[in-house]
Amino acid sequence: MQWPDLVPVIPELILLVAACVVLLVEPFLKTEDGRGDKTAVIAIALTGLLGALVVSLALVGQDRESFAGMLVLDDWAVFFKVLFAIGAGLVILMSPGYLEAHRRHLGEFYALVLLAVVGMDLMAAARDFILLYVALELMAISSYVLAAFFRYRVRSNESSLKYFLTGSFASAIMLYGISLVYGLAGATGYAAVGQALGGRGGSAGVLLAVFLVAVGLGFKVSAAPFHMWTPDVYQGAPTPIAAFFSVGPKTAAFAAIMAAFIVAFPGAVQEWGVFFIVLSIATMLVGNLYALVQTNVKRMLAYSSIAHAGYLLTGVGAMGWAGNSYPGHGVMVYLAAYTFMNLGAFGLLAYLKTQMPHSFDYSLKQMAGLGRRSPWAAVLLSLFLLSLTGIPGTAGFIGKFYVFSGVVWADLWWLAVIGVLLSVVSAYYYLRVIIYMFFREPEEEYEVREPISGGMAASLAVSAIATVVIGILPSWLWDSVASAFNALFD
Amino acid sequence: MENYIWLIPVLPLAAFVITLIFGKWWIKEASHWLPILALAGSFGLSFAAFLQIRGAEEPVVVELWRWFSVGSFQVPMTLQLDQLSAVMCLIVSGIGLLIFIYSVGYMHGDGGYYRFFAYMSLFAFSMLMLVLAGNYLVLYFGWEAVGLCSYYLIGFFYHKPEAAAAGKKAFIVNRVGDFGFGLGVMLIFVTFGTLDYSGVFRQVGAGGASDGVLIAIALLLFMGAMGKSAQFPLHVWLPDAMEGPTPVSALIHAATMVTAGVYLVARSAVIFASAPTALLVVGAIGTFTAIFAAVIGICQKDIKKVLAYSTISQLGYMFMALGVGAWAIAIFHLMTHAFFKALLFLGAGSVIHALGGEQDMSRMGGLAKRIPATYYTLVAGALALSGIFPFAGFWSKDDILGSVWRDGQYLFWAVGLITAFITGFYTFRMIFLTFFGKPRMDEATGKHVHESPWSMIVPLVVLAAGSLLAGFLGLPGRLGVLQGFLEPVFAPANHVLGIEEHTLTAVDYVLMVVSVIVAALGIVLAWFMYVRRTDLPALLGHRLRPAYKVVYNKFYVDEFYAATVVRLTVDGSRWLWRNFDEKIIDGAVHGTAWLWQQAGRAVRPLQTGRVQNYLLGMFAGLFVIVTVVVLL
Amino acid sequence: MVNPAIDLVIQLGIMFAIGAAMAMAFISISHLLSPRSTNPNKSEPYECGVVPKSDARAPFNVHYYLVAVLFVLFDLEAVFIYPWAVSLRTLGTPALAEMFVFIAILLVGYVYAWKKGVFEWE
Repeated sequence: MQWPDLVPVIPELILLVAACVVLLVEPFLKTEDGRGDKTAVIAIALTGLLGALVVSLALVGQDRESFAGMLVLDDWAVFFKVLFAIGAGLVILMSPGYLEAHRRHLGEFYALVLLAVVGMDLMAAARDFILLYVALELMAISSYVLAAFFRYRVRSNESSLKYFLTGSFASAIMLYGISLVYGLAGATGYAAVGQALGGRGGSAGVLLAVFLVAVGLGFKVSAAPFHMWTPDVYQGAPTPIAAFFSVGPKTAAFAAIMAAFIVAFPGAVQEWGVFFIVLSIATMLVGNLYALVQTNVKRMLAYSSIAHAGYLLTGVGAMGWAGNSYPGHGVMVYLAAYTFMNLGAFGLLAYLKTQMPHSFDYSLKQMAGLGRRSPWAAVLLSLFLLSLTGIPGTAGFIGKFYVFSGVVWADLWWLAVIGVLLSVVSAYYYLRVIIYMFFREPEEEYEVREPISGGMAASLAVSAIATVVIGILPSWLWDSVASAFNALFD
Repeated sequence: MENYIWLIPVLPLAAFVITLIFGKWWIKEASHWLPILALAGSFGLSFAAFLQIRGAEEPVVVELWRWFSVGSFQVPMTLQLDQLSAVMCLIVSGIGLLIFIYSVGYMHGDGGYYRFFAYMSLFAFSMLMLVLAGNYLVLYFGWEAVGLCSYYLIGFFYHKPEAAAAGKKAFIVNRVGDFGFGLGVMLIFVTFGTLDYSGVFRQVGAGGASDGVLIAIALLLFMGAMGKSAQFPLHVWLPDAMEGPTPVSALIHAATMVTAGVYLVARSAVIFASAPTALLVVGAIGTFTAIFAAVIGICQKDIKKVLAYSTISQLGYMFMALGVGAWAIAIFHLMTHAFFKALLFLGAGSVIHALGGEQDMSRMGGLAKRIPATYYTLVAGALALSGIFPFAGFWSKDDILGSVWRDGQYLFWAVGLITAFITGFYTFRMIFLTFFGKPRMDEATGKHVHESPWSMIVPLVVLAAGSLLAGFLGLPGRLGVLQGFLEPVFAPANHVLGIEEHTLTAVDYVLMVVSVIVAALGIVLAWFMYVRRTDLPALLGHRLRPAYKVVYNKFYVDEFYAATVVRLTVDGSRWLWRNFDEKIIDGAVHGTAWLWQQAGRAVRPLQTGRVQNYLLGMFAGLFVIVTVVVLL
Repeated sequence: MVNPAIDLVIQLGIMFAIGAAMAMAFISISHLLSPRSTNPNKSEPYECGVVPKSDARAPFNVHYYLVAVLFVLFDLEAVFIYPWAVSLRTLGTPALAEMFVFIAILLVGYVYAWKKGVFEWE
């Protein structure tokens, strides 16, 4: 046996070591019932993420594979590794105050986040269904535990259990699909499967296999009708974790879909293209419809994240419909934009909850008067919500613009029209929050606890700056996306 | 040069951001330092760029970044430096710097001190972007941004209802012009497939569009210019804009922003030159506005309103020059006007400051001895505005009249000459009413009259020197430094029109002498009426009551708008609102919203919260989608 | 070849049919074939012995679960070591190093569980 080439997984190894060190250090910090100084743990976790980020950036432009071709290192993988490292870093920065306010500040939290990032990294880098499945499970199991992090709370428990049950159901379906793929192609590597199935086009067995795999990944991106867990899980989970769920696993699943489907199922592109198009329409409809009637901002954001998955899926569907990777460029730009604006929006809710751990219940009417109470928070939240709406000058506009222009490129203009119309509908529930913040008088006086913590401020500032910068200077993002796609599909 | 051009607009932008964020808590009373230093930096860089661009044949184009690039649709952020933008940059940053320094004294103690300097910096950034733009989209961005700043700054004293209303009026009237401008930009893109100056002008020069399209583009662009540069009939917002602080009036509504329309036409000289019909419209509107506004200026009582109408009239002169293809001379007049009009506004501000906020000239008088520095500088500005040799206004205005004459537009010339007479009259009417005769203010105010602080006087002196000397940059004929400097920019347009350099002839000298005499006559008349026979104005006002009333009420343009456009809009909107909006649109909107809400409610029960149902939903969904996809 | 769409529907149909038939078959077969007696003693938990007095779902000390979970975990990890031991000679040094890494990771978990007090009973 050869020594495996470990260079492609250095970022993951760093994260793994950091997670282990966190687990080793945590029990030695003498703390009772979740209180105490966790600075050391946070520092280790952040150092690990920073190391992973720096190493990933240093590996730009490489092209190598390892572990018998199961995973690769190219600009595609690096793009997502960087995105995940930044996203997880922002989540970790916004968490301490929140956990402290709920008296559940445990070091395991950080280890679990790091392990989930390892899983997501491997999902993006995987070029083999087996590794994809294992990586997905690593991410999923960490997520289940994180959802239940406030285990004394019924809602948190409910969130975790629902996530676990539906998630394992979806995993099982996907695994079944993978086993069918293996049965048909005799291989599990994307390229090998593509070669074996290439000529056999849309035969029934292949289609069934493809759809079952698509369902497993569609569950992770919370595409309708596999979305029903999303609002319950996001609402019950700790808010920073909901933020993490809404961007991390979703992005990883999109990375896996885009990397796997074009390469592995080239004979059935039309069919899975249509599959994702149908899914995207259903998802956009459901997400926007439900979001309209929510009075709880956190739950509204959960539904809005479903709607965004719908916009993203139009791009994926267009990829299949055109049999070309070009529309995927927009999806990737959108994913980057979405990471920052959604983390920002959820992060702001986490900040408000940290301020009022007992009275704040995320309801719309408690947002009233925020513009006067803490103008900075209101302005930032408005920025993120406007970006989610897709107002020009923000990252959200750039993302939507590129996704829908890719969709139009694939001659699916009617799909783009549906997407744009439904994002106009979405303006209603995003702007409603802004109206409440600035133009409604609060029904009662709210007591503000303490000034913002440094980590939370940094996290929100980075999200806001990234949201604006992507909105104004999208070309570098587009360039790195283009180079990622070149690496994958030349 | 490519390396630092971007810094010219970005320095004020940085000052804006920092001042806005930290002004309220940290910087407070020291808020002026950063904007002043930043603008000084811009001025220095503009000067360096000015020196380097001298004599260059080709403009320097810097692509900062590509905002969008999808296939052939590209929107690059480009800056372009050529002789024209270099001159504009110097004017904007130089005059701006003086006005910033002046504002330190003028705005001292105002509650919104930091806010004022932040917005002024934002304005400087927007204006510099506008003149440095390398394509029409960036130009449009700057155009809208200066409009926004103007709107903020007019309404700076937002607690005054007139200020808020004036801000709104400026915004709405400008929208009318901007609508045309936006359409023009779109038409350019549709016609030529690009928005870059160089690409558009090359195609125009090569005959890439039919005459009709060119005329349409030119007129649409001119519509924008009319709004921004307050040309009849879109001039109504500018007098009202005087509700803003005086430095704002000086910088935005006299020296820089309102000249953006002139800049736009000069920048698009090739397009206008290729569409002679449009060019004639430009000249006609400019000429009419020049005399129209000058006549209104005779009867104004408010010192700032006089200057506002004078600005409109002078902008008319500039468009008159553009209308006969005298591009460089229009820019020359723009520059001299920036000097002396900024001076006049700042001087007027100094007077208002001395009188504790009084703006009505009928309550001034006899101030010459009390505030001598203001008096002397203001007289210098007035002489320049009237066009008396050797002040700056003389050279530029006579250049304009001369080129109009040479072009054979004798009607324009005659109107311009009469306007010169009226200009001399109303300018010195203002001077005499303010500084001569007996003091007419009440005693309390009279006691407190005081000379302004050094931070206000120094800019006045500098501007007065500029008003005296700037004219020598643009001596007529071959002697004109500025004309020669701008030559590379306007060469293509001049080529289209067949304009060649001319040598001075006896006719030119005669014309100069005539116009100076006419202006001097206006001054003498003013002296006669307001110093010698102070009973005359009232007598004349009484005799010519109907005419006086018409002029005093600004030819009832505002009333006309109120009775027609506004009335129609309001009534029509109300009717539409009652019948169309409430019933159909609102019905549709509410109906749609209601429908969505109902749909949302209807599907809500599906989200039961039971995991079993979720799993069932997943499976049923899978089954349905598979069936749909496979069967279709 | 048949239209793939119809092909798939047929295949799916057959699969569901067989699945449903199997499930129903097993239930009905056991129902039909099992011997039955109607003696009331049959419904007692034990046909002989002491009748239970309290609910069978008595709360256990949570430590039982923790220890049990840990036992299952480590037990399963041991399963990995058997195939490794068998093929170690062919795999060579890299595999040896990998197993040390594997055990080291297990040790991290062990230390963590220990320090968290999983093994303390009082």
